[in-house]
Amino acid sequence: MKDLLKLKSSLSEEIENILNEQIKLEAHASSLYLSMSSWCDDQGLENAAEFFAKQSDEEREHMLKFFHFVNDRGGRAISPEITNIPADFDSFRSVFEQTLQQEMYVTEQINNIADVCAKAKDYTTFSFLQWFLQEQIEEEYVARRILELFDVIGEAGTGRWEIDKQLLHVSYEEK
Amino acid sequence: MINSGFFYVLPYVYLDSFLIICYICDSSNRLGTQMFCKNVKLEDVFESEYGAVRQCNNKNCYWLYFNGTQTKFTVRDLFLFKNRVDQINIEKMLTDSSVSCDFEIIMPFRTERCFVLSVCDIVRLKELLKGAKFMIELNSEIKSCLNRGLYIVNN
Ligand SMILES: [Fe+2]
Ligand SMILES: [Fe+2]
Repeated sequence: MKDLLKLKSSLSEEIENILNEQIKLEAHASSLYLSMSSWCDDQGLENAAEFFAKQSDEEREHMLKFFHFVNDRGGRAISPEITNIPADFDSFRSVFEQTLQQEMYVTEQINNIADVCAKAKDYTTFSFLQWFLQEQIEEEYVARRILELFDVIGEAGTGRWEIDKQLLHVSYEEK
Repeated sequence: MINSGFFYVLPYVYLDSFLIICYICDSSNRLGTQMFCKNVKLEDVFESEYGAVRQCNNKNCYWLYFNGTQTKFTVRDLFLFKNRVDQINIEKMLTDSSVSCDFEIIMPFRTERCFVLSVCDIVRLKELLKGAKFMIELNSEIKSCLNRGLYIVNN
Protein backbone atom coordinates (compact mmCIF):
# COMPACT_ATOMS: atom_id res chain seq x y z
CA MET A 1 0.00 0.00 0.00
CA LYS A 2 1.26 3.45 -0.94
CA ASP A 3 2.53 5.44 2.06
CA LEU A 4 0.31 8.54 1.92
CA LEU A 5 1.48 9.61 5.35
CA LYS A 6 5.09 10.15 4.32
CA LEU A 7 4.00 11.67 1.02
CA LYS A 8 2.32 14.40 3.04
CA SER A 9 4.80 14.92 5.83
CA SER A 10 8.30 13.92 6.84
CA LEU A 11 7.49 14.66 10.46
CA SER A 12 5.95 12.02 12.65
CA GLU A 13 2.82 13.07 14.51
CA GLU A 14 4.67 12.93 17.81
CA ILE A 15 7.46 15.23 16.68
CA GLU A 16 5.05 17.62 14.95
CA ASN A 17 3.15 17.88 18.22
CA ILE A 18 6.18 18.57 20.39
CA LEU A 19 7.47 21.14 17.90
CA ASN A 20 4.09 22.87 18.07
CA GLU A 21 4.42 22.85 21.85
CA GLN A 22 7.79 24.53 21.46
CA ILE A 23 6.27 27.15 19.12
CA LYS A 24 3.87 27.95 21.91
CA LEU A 25 6.64 28.12 24.48
CA GLU A 26 8.72 30.53 22.39
CA ALA A 27 5.65 32.70 21.78
CA HIS A 28 4.95 32.68 25.50
CA ALA A 29 8.53 33.78 26.21
CA SER A 30 8.18 36.56 23.65
CA SER A 31 5.02 37.88 25.31
CA LEU A 32 6.50 37.53 28.77
CA TYR A 33 9.58 39.56 27.84
CA LEU A 34 7.42 42.21 26.23
CA SER A 35 5.48 42.49 29.44
CA MET A 36 8.74 42.75 31.41
CA SER A 37 9.89 45.44 29.02
CA SER A 38 6.79 47.47 29.75
CA TRP A 39 7.20 47.00 33.50
CA CYS A 40 10.86 48.10 33.40
CA ASP A 41 9.92 51.11 31.31
CA ASP A 42 7.30 52.06 33.87
CA GLN A 43 9.90 51.77 36.65
CA GLY A 44 12.25 54.13 34.82
CA LEU A 45 14.64 51.32 33.94
CA GLU A 46 15.24 52.41 30.40
CA ASN A 47 17.99 50.02 29.37
CA ALA A 48 16.31 47.02 30.91
CA ALA A 49 13.14 47.95 29.00
CA GLU A 50 15.17 48.02 25.80
CA PHE A 51 16.89 44.75 26.71
CA PHE A 52 13.58 42.93 27.18
CA ALA A 53 12.05 44.43 24.05
CA LYS A 54 14.97 43.01 22.11
CA GLN A 55 14.65 39.65 23.89
CA SER A 56 10.98 39.60 22.99
CA ASP A 57 11.79 40.09 19.30
CA GLU A 58 14.38 37.33 19.47
CA GLU A 59 11.90 34.90 21.00
CA ARG A 60 9.44 35.66 18.24
CA GLU A 61 12.18 34.89 15.74
CA HIS A 62 12.78 31.56 17.51
CA MET A 63 9.08 30.85 17.31
CA LEU A 64 9.04 31.56 13.57
CA LYS A 65 12.11 29.38 13.04
CA PHE A 66 10.22 26.43 14.54
CA PHE A 67 7.04 27.48 12.74
CA HIS A 68 8.62 27.45 9.29
CA PHE A 69 10.52 24.27 10.01
CA VAL A 70 7.30 22.40 10.80
CA ASN A 71 5.62 23.65 7.64
CA ASP A 72 8.67 23.09 5.46
CA ARG A 73 8.79 19.46 6.56
CA GLY A 74 5.18 18.94 5.54
CA GLY A 75 3.64 19.37 8.97
CA ARG A 76 1.11 21.92 10.10
CA ALA A 77 2.42 24.64 12.37
CA ILE A 78 -0.17 26.00 14.73
CA SER A 79 -0.37 29.68 15.58
CA PRO A 80 -0.40 29.52 19.37
CA GLU A 81 -2.82 31.03 21.82
CA ILE A 82 -0.96 32.85 24.58
CA THR A 83 -2.54 33.36 27.96
CA ASN A 84 -1.50 34.10 31.53
CA ILE A 85 1.14 36.72 30.88
CA PRO A 86 1.78 38.64 34.11
CA ALA A 87 1.58 42.43 33.87
CA ASP A 88 3.18 43.12 37.23
CA PHE A 89 6.43 41.95 38.78
CA ASP A 90 7.73 41.95 42.31
CA SER A 91 11.07 43.67 41.78
CA PHE A 92 13.85 44.52 39.33
CA ARG A 93 15.80 41.51 40.54
CA SER A 94 12.86 39.12 40.35
CA VAL A 95 12.36 40.00 36.69
CA PHE A 96 15.82 38.66 35.90
CA GLU A 97 15.34 35.66 38.15
CA GLN A 98 12.21 34.81 36.20
CA THR A 99 14.12 35.33 32.95
CA LEU A 100 16.79 32.85 33.96
CA GLN A 101 14.15 30.34 35.05
CA GLN A 102 12.33 30.78 31.75
CA GLU A 103 15.53 30.20 29.78
CA MET A 104 16.48 27.13 31.80
CA TYR A 105 13.02 25.71 31.20
CA VAL A 106 13.36 26.33 27.45
CA THR A 107 16.74 24.57 27.41
CA GLU A 108 15.21 21.61 29.20
CA GLN A 109 12.38 21.41 26.68
CA ILE A 110 14.71 21.57 23.69
CA ASN A 111 16.80 18.83 25.29
CA ASN A 112 13.66 16.75 25.62
CA ILE A 113 12.78 17.27 21.97
CA ALA A 114 16.31 16.28 20.95
CA ASP A 115 15.90 13.15 23.02
CA VAL A 116 12.62 12.23 21.32
CA CYS A 117 14.19 12.90 17.90
CA ALA A 118 17.16 10.67 18.65
CA LYS A 119 14.87 7.86 19.78
CA ALA A 120 12.71 8.27 16.67
CA LYS A 121 15.85 8.45 14.50
CA ASP A 122 14.71 11.82 13.15
CA TYR A 123 18.19 13.26 12.74
CA THR A 124 16.99 16.06 10.47
CA THR A 125 15.02 17.61 13.31
CA PHE A 126 17.79 16.64 15.73
CA SER A 127 20.35 18.68 13.80
CA PHE A 128 17.88 21.55 13.38
CA LEU A 129 17.77 21.75 17.19
CA GLN A 130 21.53 22.20 17.54
CA TRP A 131 21.30 25.91 16.73
CA PHE A 132 18.78 26.38 19.55
CA LEU A 133 20.85 24.46 22.06
CA GLN A 134 23.81 26.67 21.22
CA GLU A 135 21.61 29.75 21.50
CA GLN A 136 20.45 28.66 24.95
CA ILE A 137 24.01 28.75 26.27
CA GLU A 138 24.09 32.45 25.47
CA GLU A 139 20.59 33.13 26.80
CA GLU A 140 21.32 31.48 30.14
CA TYR A 141 24.74 33.07 30.41
CA VAL A 142 23.43 36.58 29.88
CA ALA A 143 20.55 36.19 32.36
CA ARG A 144 22.89 34.72 34.97
CA ARG A 145 25.51 37.44 34.53
CA ILE A 146 22.94 40.22 34.82
CA LEU A 147 21.57 38.59 37.95
CA GLU A 148 25.08 38.65 39.40
CA LEU A 149 25.20 42.42 38.89
CA PHE A 150 22.59 42.71 41.61
CA ASP A 151 25.10 41.20 44.06
CA VAL A 152 28.18 42.89 42.67
CA ILE A 153 26.72 46.40 42.48
CA GLY A 154 23.96 46.16 45.07
CA GLU A 155 20.57 47.80 44.78
CA ALA A 156 20.96 50.44 47.47
CA GLY A 157 21.34 54.12 46.60
CA THR A 158 21.99 54.55 42.92
CA GLY A 159 22.54 50.81 42.56
CA ARG A 160 19.48 50.13 40.43
CA TRP A 161 20.49 52.96 38.10
CA GLU A 162 23.99 51.49 37.84
CA ILE A 163 22.70 47.96 37.18
CA ASP A 164 20.40 49.32 34.48
CA LYS A 165 23.39 51.02 32.90
CA GLN A 166 25.71 48.01 33.12
CA LEU A 167 23.35 45.30 31.91
CA LEU A 168 23.68 46.48 28.31
CA HIS A 169 27.35 45.55 28.38
CA VAL A 170 26.71 41.94 29.27
CA SER A 171 27.32 39.74 26.27
CA TYR A 172 28.42 36.24 25.54
CA GLU A 173 31.39 35.40 23.43
CA GLU A 174 32.30 31.87 22.52
CA LYS A 175 35.84 31.10 23.55
CA MET B 1 -30.20 3.89 4.90
CA ILE B 2 -28.99 7.27 3.89
CA ASN B 3 -27.14 6.96 0.66
CA SER B 4 -24.74 9.65 -0.49
CA GLY B 5 -27.16 12.19 0.88
CA PHE B 6 -26.66 15.32 2.86
CA PHE B 7 -28.18 16.33 6.06
CA TYR B 8 -29.37 19.82 6.44
CA VAL B 9 -29.49 20.67 10.04
CA LEU B 10 -31.69 23.43 11.28
CA PRO B 11 -31.58 23.94 14.98
CA TYR B 12 -34.78 25.31 16.42
CA VAL B 13 -35.15 26.37 19.96
CA TYR B 14 -38.15 24.42 21.06
CA LEU B 15 -39.17 24.56 24.70
CA ASP B 16 -35.82 24.37 26.45
CA SER B 17 -34.14 22.02 24.13
CA PHE B 18 -32.98 21.86 20.58
CA LEU B 19 -35.12 20.10 18.13
CA ILE B 20 -32.87 18.94 15.43
CA ILE B 21 -34.48 18.59 12.10
CA CYS B 22 -32.51 16.74 9.59
CA TYR B 23 -33.74 16.25 6.15
CA ILE B 24 -32.06 14.50 3.42
CA CYS B 25 -32.18 15.70 -0.10
CA ASP B 26 -31.04 14.13 -3.28
CA SER B 27 -27.55 15.34 -3.78
CA SER B 28 -26.36 13.38 -6.76
CA ASN B 29 -26.07 16.56 -8.83
CA ARG B 30 -24.12 18.37 -6.13
CA LEU B 31 -21.51 15.80 -5.34
CA GLY B 32 -18.69 17.72 -7.03
CA THR B 33 -15.65 17.29 -4.85
CA GLN B 34 -17.16 14.24 -3.23
CA MET B 35 -17.17 12.37 -6.52
CA PHE B 36 -16.28 8.78 -5.90
CA CYS B 37 -12.86 7.73 -7.20
CA LYS B 38 -14.03 5.89 -10.30
CA ASN B 39 -12.32 3.03 -12.09
CA VAL B 40 -9.73 2.81 -9.37
CA LYS B 41 -9.19 -0.16 -7.18
CA LEU B 42 -9.36 1.04 -3.62
CA GLU B 43 -7.18 -0.65 -1.05
CA ASP B 44 -8.63 -1.74 2.24
CA VAL B 45 -7.08 0.05 5.15
CA PHE B 46 -9.37 -1.12 7.90
CA GLU B 47 -12.78 -2.61 8.06
CA SER B 48 -15.16 -3.23 10.92
CA GLU B 49 -18.67 -4.53 11.15
CA TYR B 50 -19.97 -0.99 10.84
CA GLY B 51 -17.81 0.59 8.20
CA ALA B 52 -14.53 0.76 6.41
CA VAL B 53 -11.67 3.03 5.44
CA ARG B 54 -10.16 2.55 2.01
CA GLN B 55 -7.24 4.18 0.29
CA CYS B 56 -7.28 5.57 -3.24
CA ASN B 57 -3.78 5.45 -4.68
CA ASN B 58 -4.81 7.51 -7.66
CA LYS B 59 -5.99 10.61 -5.83
CA ASN B 60 -3.96 9.92 -2.67
CA CYS B 61 -6.97 10.07 -0.43
CA TYR B 62 -9.06 7.96 1.89
CA TRP B 63 -12.69 7.04 1.71
CA LEU B 64 -14.62 6.56 4.88
CA TYR B 65 -17.63 4.32 4.60
CA PHE B 66 -19.91 4.76 7.51
CA ASN B 67 -23.65 4.52 8.06
CA GLY B 68 -24.26 4.25 4.34
CA THR B 69 -22.25 7.37 3.49
CA GLN B 70 -18.93 7.74 1.73
CA THR B 71 -16.69 10.63 2.61
CA LYS B 72 -13.37 11.58 1.09
CA PHE B 73 -10.51 12.75 3.29
CA THR B 74 -6.87 13.61 2.83
CA VAL B 75 -4.61 11.88 5.31
CA ARG B 76 -4.37 15.00 7.45
CA ASP B 77 -8.09 15.66 7.37
CA LEU B 78 -8.79 12.06 8.30
CA PHE B 79 -6.59 12.38 11.38
CA LEU B 80 -8.13 15.73 12.29
CA PHE B 81 -11.54 14.15 11.98
CA LYS B 82 -10.39 11.33 14.24
CA ASN B 83 -9.19 13.83 16.85
CA ARG B 84 -12.53 15.60 16.67
CA VAL B 85 -14.45 12.35 17.19
CA ASP B 86 -12.13 11.30 20.03
CA GLN B 87 -12.78 14.58 21.81
CA ILE B 88 -16.53 13.99 22.08
CA ASN B 89 -17.55 13.63 25.69
CA ILE B 90 -19.60 10.43 25.59
CA GLU B 91 -20.12 10.44 29.33
CA LYS B 92 -21.82 13.83 29.14
CA MET B 93 -24.01 12.64 26.28
CA LEU B 94 -25.15 9.68 28.35
CA THR B 95 -25.80 11.55 31.57
CA ASP B 96 -27.33 14.74 30.15
CA SER B 97 -31.02 14.16 29.48
CA SER B 98 -31.57 17.16 27.16
CA VAL B 99 -32.38 16.37 23.53
CA SER B 100 -29.40 18.37 22.27
CA CYS B 101 -27.11 15.87 23.97
CA ASP B 102 -28.52 12.83 22.20
CA PHE B 103 -26.56 13.57 19.07
CA GLU B 104 -23.25 15.11 18.17
CA ILE B 105 -22.98 16.99 14.92
CA ILE B 106 -19.70 17.15 13.05
CA MET B 107 -19.23 18.91 9.74
CA PRO B 108 -15.62 18.27 8.76
CA PHE B 109 -14.02 21.03 6.67
CA ARG B 110 -13.47 20.29 3.00
CA THR B 111 -16.20 17.69 2.92
CA GLU B 112 -19.84 18.22 2.14
CA ARG B 113 -20.88 15.83 4.82
CA CYS B 114 -22.64 16.45 8.06
CA PHE B 115 -22.33 13.62 10.54
CA VAL B 116 -25.15 13.36 13.03
CA LEU B 117 -23.86 10.82 15.49
CA SER B 118 -25.54 8.98 18.31
CA VAL B 119 -23.48 7.56 21.17
CA CYS B 120 -23.57 4.19 19.45
CA ASP B 121 -22.31 5.73 16.18
CA ILE B 122 -19.53 7.50 17.99
CA VAL B 123 -18.26 4.32 19.62
CA ARG B 124 -18.31 2.54 16.28
CA LEU B 125 -16.70 5.43 14.44
CA LYS B 126 -14.00 5.76 17.08
CA GLU B 127 -13.10 2.11 16.71
CA LEU B 128 -13.07 2.37 12.93
CA LEU B 129 -10.87 5.47 12.85
CA LYS B 130 -8.53 4.09 15.49
CA GLY B 131 -8.04 0.94 13.46
CA ALA B 132 -7.54 2.92 10.26
CA LYS B 133 -5.00 5.24 11.81
CA PHE B 134 -3.10 2.33 13.26
CA MET B 135 -2.96 0.59 9.88
CA ILE B 136 -1.88 3.76 8.05
CA GLU B 137 0.94 4.27 10.54
CA LEU B 138 1.88 0.61 10.51
CA ASN B 139 2.12 0.66 6.73
CA SER B 140 4.32 3.75 6.88
CA GLU B 141 6.52 2.16 9.54
CA ILE B 142 6.91 -1.08 7.59
CA LYS B 143 7.81 0.91 4.47
CA SER B 144 10.62 2.74 6.25
CA CYS B 145 11.88 -0.46 7.87
CA LEU B 146 12.03 -2.08 4.44
CA ASN B 147 13.86 0.94 3.03
CA ARG B 148 16.35 0.81 5.89
CA GLY B 149 16.74 -2.93 5.34
CA LEU B 150 17.48 -2.32 1.68
CA TYR B 151 20.15 0.18 2.59
CA ILE B 152 21.81 -2.29 4.96
CA VAL B 153 21.67 -5.09 2.37
CA ASN B 154 23.12 -2.87 -0.35
CA ASN B 155 25.97 -1.68 1.83
FE1 LIG C 1 13.96 31.09 22.59
FE1 LIG D 1 15.40 32.71 25.09
